Amino acid sequence: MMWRNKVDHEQVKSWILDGEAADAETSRLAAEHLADCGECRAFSEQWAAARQALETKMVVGPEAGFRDRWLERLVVARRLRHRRQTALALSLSALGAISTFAAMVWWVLDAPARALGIILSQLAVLDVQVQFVLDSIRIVADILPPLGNLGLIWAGVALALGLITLYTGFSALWTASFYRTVLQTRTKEN
Amino acid sequence: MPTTHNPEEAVWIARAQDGDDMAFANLVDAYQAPIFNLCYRILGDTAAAEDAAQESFLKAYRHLRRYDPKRKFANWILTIASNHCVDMLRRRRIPTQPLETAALQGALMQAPEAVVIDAETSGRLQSLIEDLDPVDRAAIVLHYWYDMSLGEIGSSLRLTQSAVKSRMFRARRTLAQGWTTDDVEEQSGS
Repeated sequence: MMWRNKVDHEQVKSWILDGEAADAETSRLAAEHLADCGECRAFSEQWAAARQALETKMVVGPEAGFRDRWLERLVVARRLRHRRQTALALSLSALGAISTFAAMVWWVLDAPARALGIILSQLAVLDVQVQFVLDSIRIVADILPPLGNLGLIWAGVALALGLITLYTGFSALWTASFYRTVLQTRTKEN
Repeated sequence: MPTTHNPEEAVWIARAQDGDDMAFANLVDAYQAPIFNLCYRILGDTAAAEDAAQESFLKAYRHLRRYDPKRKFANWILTIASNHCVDMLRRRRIPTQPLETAALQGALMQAPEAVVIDAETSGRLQSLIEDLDPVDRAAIVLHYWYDMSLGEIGSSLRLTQSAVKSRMFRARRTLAQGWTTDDVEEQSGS
């Protein structure tokens, strides 16, 4: 058979499946092959039928109420996400606290004398710092001699107010960040 | 199937990006049929398709800020859904249900006799699609149901264009070989 020398079954099947516009010579060779080859003709008919079924594009739709089910799922998904976030935050905090405590225990047990020395030196530094603050207050009080002891009191009050403002500001920032990440999204969900 | 750009769509997307759940619910409404159909065609099971479609919409909402408005929204969400389904198939084996039920409960807007015939063809086609590799399934469905080009399928499934071409070729061959001569005669007779 002449065609067997020109094209084989695989070549013809690949032309059939590619479905791309072939040149005149390819089309002629394919037509000659199909006229003589029952196997490739059957394959061509099978692919044509399968392609017809594919091109029908039959669409299967969801049951009614898909949108409402999605909105319900969104609420559940958010709740789970926030629960996971809160659990993660708590776990990390607990892990941090435990690690710090464990590190301290290990540090003290590993070299108790050295650890005690460092703790004492830290206390000494703290004492120096306290001393520095008290000296500063006295200097301020000296600058304001007419006020006498009252100046010392006012300087102490100012320092206390400064510290309170600093801690309040820090707490407010922390609360705002917690509110944004956890509470705000939870309120929105409800 | 809403693959063309809806004038309201851009507004819904912008509002949804600002956290408006109801705006995204409108997008869910508009795309529920194509997304459910895609999931059903890839997974072959209505319950799994419902779950996958719902999850795909949740993923899309969560990552909506990453959506590039230059791209068709339909293609973006189809990409999310097809990848989700391929992942589902890879993770676990999904049981299949008789196809007639699913095909008939869907949105086939035809005469009752036509629905029965189409349901049979659809069932036969679906069972052949389920024999394909998960990625090949997704490629075939995206090409024949959603008219995606080889390039678009490649970018959706993270494949090169030549890889898509070879997968499509392999899938077509399987479908043609599976579509027996009896099926061809039955199809031409109906």
